[in-house]
Amino acid sequence: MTQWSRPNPALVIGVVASMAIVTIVLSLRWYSSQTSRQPLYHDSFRLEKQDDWQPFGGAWEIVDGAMRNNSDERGAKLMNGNPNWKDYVIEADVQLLGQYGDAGLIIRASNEEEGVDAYDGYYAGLRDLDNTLILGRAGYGWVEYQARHVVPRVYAQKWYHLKVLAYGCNIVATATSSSGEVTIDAIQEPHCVPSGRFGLKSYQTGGLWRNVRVREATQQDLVKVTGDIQIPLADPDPVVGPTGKPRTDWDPARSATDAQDQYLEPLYLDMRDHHVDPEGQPIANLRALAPGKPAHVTIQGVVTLTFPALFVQDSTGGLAIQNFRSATPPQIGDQVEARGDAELHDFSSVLKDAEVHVLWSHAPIHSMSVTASQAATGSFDAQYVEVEGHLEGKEEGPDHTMVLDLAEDNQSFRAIANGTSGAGSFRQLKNKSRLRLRGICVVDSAYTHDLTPFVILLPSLNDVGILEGPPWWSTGHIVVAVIAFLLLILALQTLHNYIERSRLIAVLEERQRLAHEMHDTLAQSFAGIGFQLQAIRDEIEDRSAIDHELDLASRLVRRSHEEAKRSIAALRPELLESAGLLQALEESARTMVAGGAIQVTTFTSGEASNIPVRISDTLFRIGQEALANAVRHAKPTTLMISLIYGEATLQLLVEDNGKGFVVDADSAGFGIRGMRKRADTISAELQIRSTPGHGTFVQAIAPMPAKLMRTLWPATIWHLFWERRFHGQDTDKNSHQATYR
Amino acid sequence: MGHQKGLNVYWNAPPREDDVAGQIDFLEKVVAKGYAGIIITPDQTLPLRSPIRRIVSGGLPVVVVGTNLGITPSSKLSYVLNDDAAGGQMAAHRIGKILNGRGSIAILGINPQLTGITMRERSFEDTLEREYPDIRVVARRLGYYSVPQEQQVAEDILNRGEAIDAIVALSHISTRGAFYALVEFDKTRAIKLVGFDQDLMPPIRTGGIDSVVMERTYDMGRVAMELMDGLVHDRAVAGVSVVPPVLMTRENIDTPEIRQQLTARWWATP
Repeated sequence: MTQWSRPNPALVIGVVASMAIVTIVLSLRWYSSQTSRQPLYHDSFRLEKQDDWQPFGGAWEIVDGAMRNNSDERGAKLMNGNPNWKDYVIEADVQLLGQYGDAGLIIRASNEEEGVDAYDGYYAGLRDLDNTLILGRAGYGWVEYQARHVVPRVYAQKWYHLKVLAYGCNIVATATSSSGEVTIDAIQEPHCVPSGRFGLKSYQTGGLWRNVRVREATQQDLVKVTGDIQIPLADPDPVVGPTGKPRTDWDPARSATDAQDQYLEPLYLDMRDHHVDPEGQPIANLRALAPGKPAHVTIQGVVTLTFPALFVQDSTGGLAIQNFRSATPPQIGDQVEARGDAELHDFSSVLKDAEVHVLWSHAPIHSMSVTASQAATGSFDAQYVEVEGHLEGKEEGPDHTMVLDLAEDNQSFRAIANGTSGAGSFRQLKNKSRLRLRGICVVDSAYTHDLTPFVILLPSLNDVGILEGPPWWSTGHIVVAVIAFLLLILALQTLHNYIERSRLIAVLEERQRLAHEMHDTLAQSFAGIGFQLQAIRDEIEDRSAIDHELDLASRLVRRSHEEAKRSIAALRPELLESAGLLQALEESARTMVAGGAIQVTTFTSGEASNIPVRISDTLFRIGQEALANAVRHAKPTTLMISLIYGEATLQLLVEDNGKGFVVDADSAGFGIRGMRKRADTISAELQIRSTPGHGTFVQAIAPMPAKLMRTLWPATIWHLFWERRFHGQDTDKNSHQATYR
Repeated sequence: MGHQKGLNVYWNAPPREDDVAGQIDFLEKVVAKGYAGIIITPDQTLPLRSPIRRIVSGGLPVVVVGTNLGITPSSKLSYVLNDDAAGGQMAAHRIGKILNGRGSIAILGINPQLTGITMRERSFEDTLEREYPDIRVVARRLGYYSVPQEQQVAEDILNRGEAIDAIVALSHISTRGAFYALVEFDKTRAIKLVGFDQDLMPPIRTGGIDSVVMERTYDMGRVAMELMDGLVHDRAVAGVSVVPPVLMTRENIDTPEIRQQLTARWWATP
């Protein structure tokens, strides 16, 4: 019989996996070669484009063509570039916004996280406290290699041009003041970080960056920057910050006053203008103002937000400041004093045309944890709150903002973040996630558009924390799970079929081997014994005494020989393999009726298809048994063998016109039970119909597995359920028909 | 030290010093990443108690530096503490010495949220009362997490007009705030300042700050890493290791003992 030859699944999987691996490796190599070849970047801040900057802390926004961090966190970073970039220069104009901190550029960074010095790479920055250009290496900790005096000095709110170059294991930083003086830090580190991204960073102060450029560095660039300077090996020992041991330029011969001037100037800067107006009012008192009558007031508080408006909060409440003037740009965390015209609004006051004076920085801000229902009352208007909610949707808003739609406690509300940076974080937020947001709660209709009771204004997307991801039972996930389950079932079914087919092939091969063995030994022996008996008969002259025994022995040998040949024929599947099921059965029938008057006919219909080994072998055995029963017991004159290919089934019919019999439970002898058992192994339906004097009809209907998988699953499952449920209960003895399965 | 012991160290802290929730988030992240142990210097005592207790009961070794959380030390929890009682005594003896046993003082930076600060204050006042009965405490002020606020507190005291001979500031923030106020009122010579915790070095040289009771942070870090090495290898370690502070003055600021605690080579072998 002709069998469809399936490819080995393991071989197919191996080939596909190998091709996938080769493709991935080649793609990565191509990507690496493309990205590491030529680092190149020029910011688009003037076009208010955020590019692909990735924030780690801080409150970043584009203001007047420059990237600005409004936070005084310890180590806010904004990263960009490719981790494979090696030798390159990054340069930018840098400005510190406040005192007692530093701001600068990161080069060759990797493994960035939010936190203090939480990256591997180099940093060079301007520090105003001790008036230095610092250069060092971060690796979840900070090693400061050099800190050189900047000439004339580092001032807040003044631009400096900062350039950081990495070539081989040479790291060089230069700072050029507006008056043209250049300060250089340079180190050589034997075990340097070989490659990484670039970034902007500030520490304990806000900062501004503009004209950020990155280009490939060459040996000539290194020589051009360092000139005749012998680049020293990185040695952190001589470095002294404001809190370390004396700097190498400490002169003990100086007077105490000079020394104080030398070291304490930044401290004096830090201390200046800390005096406050004693007439300042608590913010909550402004709610007692007469409606429609602005009053000139002074308040003190901590800046909680700078965009889209300036928000200030004290221990009694918060308010928005519109149209303010300030010598120093206020940053989040600055303690400020503001004088202006206070107007009473519905839930809080607004200060207009205010003079804002920064008193000091780094004031702690504590958010108040409230529920959405509490926030919806308006009691926390203009205050820094922490609220939780489920993300219902997100969209980009006007003026480069990002808008989150949330719901909690039967309240819907929105959160608005400045979208200058953090697009990556925004994309990662998934609907139905549970979020914790820290920001300013506002109920002004200018923000809510009267669609929601309140809006949370977020300093940045870093103030969005994901408490829980979306639930797994979303519609999409359920569909995926069902598909995965079906694929798993399919895979298991395929595997089961493969194993079953292998087992059957092994059985057939064993049968064939046995047939060969029997042919070569048992049958040959019977033939030899018969030949020897004939020889004995021929050689003995007076055979009368033993003639009867010899005849008996010869008949026994002949009968045994025929039995052996039938067994061999039954065991050998070659005919089935080479000729097909119908022809094999026909051949088998003709062998059985050889020498008799029984007429054998065959019939086939439908589109012939490949029959699995298991089914063809089983139907062959059932057909053989039916034919044998007909020849032995029915005394027919005709035998009809039919094979009908259906859409999803294969039917085998063996019909004779013999004497028939009464089909009942008692008539199910060993042969019929054997046929039934075989039919069960392939989920085939076996019917035997017979009436005395009118022949016998044996029908086996087998489902075809391939089609069962494609289209007939539901019907087959229902069919199997029905069959199992009512197994053995649908026999009608009066009709002389029985259905055996 | 960690590298010498074969331990890889991940170091991080929240960008805001007062961000206790951020510190707890870091703890959870470190636990989730499967690190072998945690060394932590809590921002505050009480909020960290439950998270640390949960981590320890989960079997992860923890070494707490600088603050006793009130959780009993165990095979998975050990403390490295500054000897705040000894620090308080040092400050009292210094005040007694520079005031010659007589005068009026103010105490700034009292913080009930930090047990170490409370211990300093009690020890200081006990020693003062016992050994220098003629020195009176005329003002006590709670501490803040902001230098300007501390400065304002100190300026309020100076504005009262009451004679004060010295100020004892119990934290580095209150020390800095008090120093700013003294500079502002031009009283760095008239009123002695004894502070706690190393922060401003130059004023010690110039005399603007008389002295600072300094935690031996380098030694505390080294002890913490030794304890962690023991805990992760299931060795018995001390439940509480107390490291005595040292008084830093203009005279000893450049001695090897002080310099070792202030070195920037925090990764180097001592």
